[in-house]
Order: sequence, then C-alpha cells, then structure tokens
Amino acid sequence: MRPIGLADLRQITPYAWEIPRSFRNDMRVTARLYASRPMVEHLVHERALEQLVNTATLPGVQEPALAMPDIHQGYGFPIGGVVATRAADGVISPGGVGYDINCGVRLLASGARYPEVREHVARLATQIQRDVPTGIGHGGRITLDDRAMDEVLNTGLGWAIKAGYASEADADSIEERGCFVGASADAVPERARKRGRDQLGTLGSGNHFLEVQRVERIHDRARAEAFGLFEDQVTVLVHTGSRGLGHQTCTEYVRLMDQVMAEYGITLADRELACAPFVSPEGQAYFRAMASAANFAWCNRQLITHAVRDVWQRVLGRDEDLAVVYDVSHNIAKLEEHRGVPCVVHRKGATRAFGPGSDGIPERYRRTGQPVFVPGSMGTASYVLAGTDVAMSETFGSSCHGAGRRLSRQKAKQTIDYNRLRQELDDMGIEVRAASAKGLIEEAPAAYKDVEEVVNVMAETGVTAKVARLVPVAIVKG
Amino acid sequence: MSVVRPTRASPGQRAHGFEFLDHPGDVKLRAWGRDLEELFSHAAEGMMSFLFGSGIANLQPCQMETVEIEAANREALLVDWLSELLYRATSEYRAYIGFQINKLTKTELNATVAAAVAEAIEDIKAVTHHELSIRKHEPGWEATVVFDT
Repeated sequence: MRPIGLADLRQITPYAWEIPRSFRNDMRVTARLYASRPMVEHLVHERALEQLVNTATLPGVQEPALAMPDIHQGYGFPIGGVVATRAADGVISPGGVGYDINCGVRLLASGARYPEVREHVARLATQIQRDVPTGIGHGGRITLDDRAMDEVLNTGLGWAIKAGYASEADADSIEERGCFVGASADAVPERARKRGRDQLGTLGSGNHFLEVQRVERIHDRARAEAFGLFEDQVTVLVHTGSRGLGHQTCTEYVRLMDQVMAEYGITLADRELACAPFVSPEGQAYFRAMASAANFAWCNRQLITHAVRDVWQRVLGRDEDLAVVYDVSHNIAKLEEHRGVPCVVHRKGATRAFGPGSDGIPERYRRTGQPVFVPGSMGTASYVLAGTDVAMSETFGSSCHGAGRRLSRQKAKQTIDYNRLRQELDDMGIEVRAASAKGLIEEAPAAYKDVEEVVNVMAETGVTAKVARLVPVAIVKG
Repeated sequence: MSVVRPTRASPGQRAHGFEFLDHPGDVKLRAWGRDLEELFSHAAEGMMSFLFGSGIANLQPCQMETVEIEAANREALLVDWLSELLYRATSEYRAYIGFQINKLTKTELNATVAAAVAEAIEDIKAVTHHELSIRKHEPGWEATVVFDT
C-alpha cells in the first residue's frame, strides 16, 4: 500500500480534509478528516490516516468515513474514528468499538464554589484515592455473583438503582439511561464475566483517571446554565470503562469474527477490522454482548460516583449529592438513523454529539444539544461542549473525545523527568494521587496533543460548541 | 517433569528472548527463539515480565497447568496462546513463570505452564493482531505482537 502524502488530501474547508475514493481501489466511500493544517502535516507521517482509509473499505460503510482531530493510531480502526455502516446490509466490527467497551466520561457537578472547598482539596484527593480502587491487581469492594452479574449486564443502571447506588435522576442523565436496549447477558462470554466479577467500581490504570476540577471559564452562558454549570464551580470528572469484562468480550468476538468473515465473503486490509454482517447471528451476538458490557461500564462509573459522593459529604460535611451532568461513551457502536438510513455508528475514541431537538437525549438538553466532555491530558484543561445541527448533518452526530496521544509511552518515559513533572503539577496547585510514577509519566501533558487545538477545530467547523473550560485541582489515577 | 525458568528482563531492556519496541499507542513486544517452541515461550515470558515486573524472578511456582489452543493459523495461535495466559493471569491472579511446549503445529498448541500466586503491576487489555508477525530469522524465528494497554 502506498503511503499517504499531503498531496493526497484535498482541503474542503479550513478544517476539513478529504481523501477521495480514487486514492485506493478498495475504498467504498470518501475518508474525511477534521484537522488544522499543522495537524495534517504531522499526521501524514503516521499510520492513523492509512487506518482511516481502511475503514472506508468496510461493507455497507456510509459516506464518509470520518476522523476527528484527536485521531491517532489504534488497532484496525484509528482512535478518533467514526464509521457508520448500513444496518440492513453493512457490518459491525468489535475493532470499531475497541477493547474497552463503553469507555467514557461522566461529569459530576457540585453546588460549591472553589474558594469554599479549596482548603479541603488535599483531603478530598486522599480519601477518593482510598475509596475508589485504582490501578490493577485485586478488584473492588463488591464481587458479583452470577445472578447479580446477569442483572448488571441485562439492566445496567436498573441494577444500580435497585442496589441503592443510583437514583432515577442519575439514570436520566446517562446515554441510553444507562441501560442499552438489546443487552443480553447470555451473549457475554463466560470468561469476560469472570474477568470482571470483582472489578465493578474500580478505575483501572492506563489513561483512566478521576479529577476534581474548577470551572475556569464559561464560553456559552445559556448552555452552561442548562447544563447546571457556573463559573468557579467545583466539578468531578470520571474517566473509565468496562474493565476486564469489556476487554475479554472484545477479544473473544474479534476471534469469532476472524473465523467467520470468509463465510460472508469479507476480505479486509487489516485483521483488526474483523467484522460480520450486522444482521448475521455473529453480528447480533456481538451487538448484544457489547450492549451488556456497556451496561457494566455505566454501572462501573455509577459505583465510582457513589463512592465520590460519599467522600464529598464526609470530607466537606456538605449535605448535597453531586449531580450527574451527563455520562458520555467514547467507545461504542449505536443503532441510529442518519439521513433516513438505519446505521450502526461505530465511535472509537469519539463521542456522540447530538444536536438540539434530537431524540435520545435528556429532555432538559433538547434545546441546547447534548453535553460532550473532552478531557485534556493530565494537568491540562478539559472542555464541556454541546452537540449541534452541524454534527447531525456532517458527522453522524459525533465529535472528538480527548487530546490524542502524541508521544509513545516508551518515548514519554525516556523524555519526561518524574520529579520535574511532579514539581510542575505542584506549581500549578494540583494535588496528585497516582498509583505509580510510571503511570504518571506516561500520561504527562507533554505526551499528548494540545486539547485546545482539538476543541478549536471542532468549534470552528461548528460540529460542537464550546460551553465551559474546566481546570484540574486534584487528580487521582491508577 | 521439569520446566525451564527463563531469564527475565524489565521492559525496555534487551533480554535473552524478548525486548519491548517503541510503539505510538501501546506496547510492542519482539520475541525470538531457536525454534518455534522457544519463540512461543519467550513471547509468553515477555508478556509476563511486562505484567508482573522484575519481581517475577523471585516467585515460586505453586502449581502446574495445561494449556491447549487451536487456531486457524500460526499467527492466530500466538495471539490465542498469549490471550489465554493473559486471561488466566488477570482472572485468577497468577503469574506464569515457566513454559514447556509439548506440542506445536501450525494450528495447535499444547503446553504445561508453571503458575505462581501474584498480582500484576501493569495492565494489558488485550493481545492484538495489529502489526502481528512471525517470521524466520536465521538462525531461528522472530515474532512481534502489540498489546493494548
């Protein structure tokens, strides 16, 4: 396969670029990338663009195959990719969702302003680290028996409400109300259940983290008000997914798809794109399993929410429940209708960003568009954005999900000095509670692209509107 | 039966049987061996060394286990072999510290592995097919495999 050069990309607007179908014989649709020129100049040297082109070859793919500005190399699909396939005759691919099914972000809003809690932030961080298991090794505070596991997988937040970890109001503030239609525990491999049985309520390692933040700036007052956000407010952001249960589910379905693809006459540029027709028994089984793993992830973020609420009340003595602003998934496949066609929208490292008036978003966000959360790298700002009509017409209702990795973990370890990094975070007044020095270095701001540039591209194209900028005051990570 | 305990190295260091290469997103392992049996053992050692760190050298085996894998081809067999060990390590809290490959064809593997009680210090979500290769590299064999971390 010939490498992709700058000349192969056609700039269609200041921040949108296309690789036409004529670039490669096997492309079924155009590949479109949202990025600034410097970003594109950097990307042409990376494999991520080739992966984007590969996704444009999938059976049933809808025009165009997309990449957001935080695109970077993944497995099969690039991270930051959005690929919609026709439900009727297109495919579903576990690789288009990723190993961490329903990895996502939840934002909790307090009623407190930063000056009111400033002196307690260190204790908050310490207690959250104690109460929310991070890292790896032995799991969380509960171990699910078979019956409870079935209920988590089948009903998601329904289980959490029954068990006293969630309220109806929480469910109202989560994509799909935290219960994916079509979930079925019997489609989840036994080994996935076993790997996840003691991991509910755990943050995990890698790029997962929990942050106490301050709303530093409001960009859009009306939308911020609708989202319950105000200047100097303290918020808590939770970033984690379905843990070992999701990883094992994806592993086993990639293997299954790999085995059956030939029977469906599917040949692919990359084995990690392994897929099956959505309507096939294997496609349907994966969809049910993925939906169940998504329910597990929502319950995971819910149990963490429950623990954080408890710490908040104990440490601050404030009689308030942190409100869920919203909970967005950035590794998922959803059955949605776009341009009148039922589609399976694969978002891998991309966030749903439904605009005003869309079905499937909470009533209170119908006028504003749904909230979208874009965490920056550790120590840098995060953004609250809102979905728009442009997202609905151009990006299958999708936007970016984060800053996007710039340095490999190994390069980060070679170039970033731990003590200096700690000092820098300290100088910024950020309390850091990390399980390991290595984990901290790998997620250092220098290892990531600039989140400002990523959200600016999305704002300039009109796909998502900036609502608020949040800065960290405490970070807890695995 | 006796199981050979291999030499270990921490990630980033070159050991007798494996090393970690730079990869933009995740962890890329290169393993080699005089024959395919040794290659598969070294790949497993590399993964365990990443998961459990240098402390793995001090672990004592507590039991022997059998691993049987069938796959469509040699590459899939390597991914499935490592995935099986990853699953057992993460769900049972065990480190695997010795590998005896009893049978290895293009599509089948039978091995006896020595397990020790241990908790991982690093996480691997999955063993991927991304940039996966097994090739003849005189005088033996070489493989690369990427872990999603």
